[in-house]
Amino acid sequence: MNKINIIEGKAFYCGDLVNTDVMSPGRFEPYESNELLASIALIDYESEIPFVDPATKRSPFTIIFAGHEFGCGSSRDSAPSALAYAGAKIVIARSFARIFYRNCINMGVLLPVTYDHSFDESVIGKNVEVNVLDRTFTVDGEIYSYSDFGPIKDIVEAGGLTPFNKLSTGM
Amino acid sequence: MKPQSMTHKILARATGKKSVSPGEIVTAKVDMCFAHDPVVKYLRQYFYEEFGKDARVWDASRIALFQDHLVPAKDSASRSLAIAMGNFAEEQKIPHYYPYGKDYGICHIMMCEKGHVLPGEVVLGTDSHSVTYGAFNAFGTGVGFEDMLNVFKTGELWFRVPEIIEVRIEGELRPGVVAKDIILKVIGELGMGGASYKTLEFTGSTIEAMSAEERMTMCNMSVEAGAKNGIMAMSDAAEKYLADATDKPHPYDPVTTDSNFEYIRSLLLRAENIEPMVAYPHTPDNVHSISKAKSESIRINQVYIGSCTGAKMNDIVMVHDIIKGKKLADGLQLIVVPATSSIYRQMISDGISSDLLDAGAVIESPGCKACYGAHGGVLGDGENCLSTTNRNFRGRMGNPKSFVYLSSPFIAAQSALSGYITD
Repeated sequence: MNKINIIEGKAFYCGDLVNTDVMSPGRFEPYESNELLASIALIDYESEIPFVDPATKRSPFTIIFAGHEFGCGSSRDSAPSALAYAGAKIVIARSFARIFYRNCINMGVLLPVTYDHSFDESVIGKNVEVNVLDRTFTVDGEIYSYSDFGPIKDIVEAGGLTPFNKLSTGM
Repeated sequence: MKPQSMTHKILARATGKKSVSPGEIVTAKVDMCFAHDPVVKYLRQYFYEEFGKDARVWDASRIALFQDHLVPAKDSASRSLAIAMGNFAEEQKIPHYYPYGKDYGICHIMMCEKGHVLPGEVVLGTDSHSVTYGAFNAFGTGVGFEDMLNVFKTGELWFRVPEIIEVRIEGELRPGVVAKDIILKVIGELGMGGASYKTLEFTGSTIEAMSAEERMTMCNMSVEAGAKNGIMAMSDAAEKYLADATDKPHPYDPVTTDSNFEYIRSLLLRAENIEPMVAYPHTPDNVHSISKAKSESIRINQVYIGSCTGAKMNDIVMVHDIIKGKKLADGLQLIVVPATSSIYRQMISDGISSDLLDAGAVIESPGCKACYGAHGGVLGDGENCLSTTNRNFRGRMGNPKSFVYLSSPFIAAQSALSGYITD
């Protein structure tokens, strides 16, 4: 993810306490392909506008604004993978559940940005531009700045834990 | 040196430091870890892809492998997961490999039964309920796929040092009130994110008097409040369980919290004031007292006794005590899934199985089964299940149009007889 400086696309919105069971339900295990995972992303999350377009089996949304404790529950890595394979590149949440956050950082599939935003459903479909280098995102012409990843920013910049460990230990 | 909590002492020991502070990122050595069937096929694939075709794990004796989620195979893809695990165990000569067969079961209960969890140690699993191990004074926590891939190679992992919330329970529980009721009450008080990134440290006379299996139930559901780990000081019951768990006694070094340690929050509950609790759909913090649930006459179609939370020997004995010699409510199905083979065997040798069968229960083979909705006990649209498991998210048990309530084994068994949620 360090290679991409600008992420641009449409926004989706999720409320508080969205758990990994609704992101990639256990009834679809074993998840046989990335296409299958993409098609079921957030399938059990109740919303008027579905995250995945049933016609294309992909998501038209690139940026997810979320509430508190996004990704709580099961440790399944299929949850961030499903969101990413469907088309999401970044989640901007008020807070994250810890294993989901670890999975995002360590797998390097989805950038988890913690930011106490005040968006709601009305943000759905709006165009958002995220500048990963400057750590800013723009909605409706307004620019918001988020903090860096602190002591784990080297892992984020390496693109995940495996490339980070390879770089730092030469294994 | 500032006073330290038991969790901090374990992390300090594992990082070779004298002390650690909340918020600090540390790289800790892992004493024991495990992975289960949903991930091992892919761990194996990426292990060789990333680290080379001749790559070896850092220490095969510190890895356990379990088949629990997708056994017996529901389809060929599930079977391929089990086959891949067998190959990895063979290639890496992993001694603690527990395939579907003579001696297997749900990872967390197997980890404890087999003596793989020891006080003062760092124990990781690719499953969120790895927090169970705090019952034996270990730092147990769940991690993801990529974490375990790297642990397999390096034997260590980064952690943010957590702040500590004390949950103090004092006094004697009323008859019919058990650990599941306490932990549901705690989750209700804290909320699902109430302990996010933090430790729940359980203290007080009620915890000191608890059986080892009840301690496991408490720590197991810490993650439902978002906790990084749940932990307790050792007790006589926990010592006895460990002594029985393995024939080769391991030396171990328990940790305690310094008496002047400052928790960021303390929650005090009087045991006498706790009544049986029920978590309503669709979150485990949506808890209500049994009095309220009774007053609402909630009809139940299925009772499920299973999972790492509610299918240990003591849980099944609770169900047996209520059900023995009685008949289930008309039209209700009671599914009992013992957590491990050894529990399954004891149910047979103690005559529990035949009593449950006579009452109308169906006893399935050990595994995670209906708890997470992959197979075995999926509900119909609009149906209600009362379950001794840990999560009741929408769709958790396989059908997003069904409703899952969570309770203790006592309440589940009483409700199986009446057909309504009752005590």
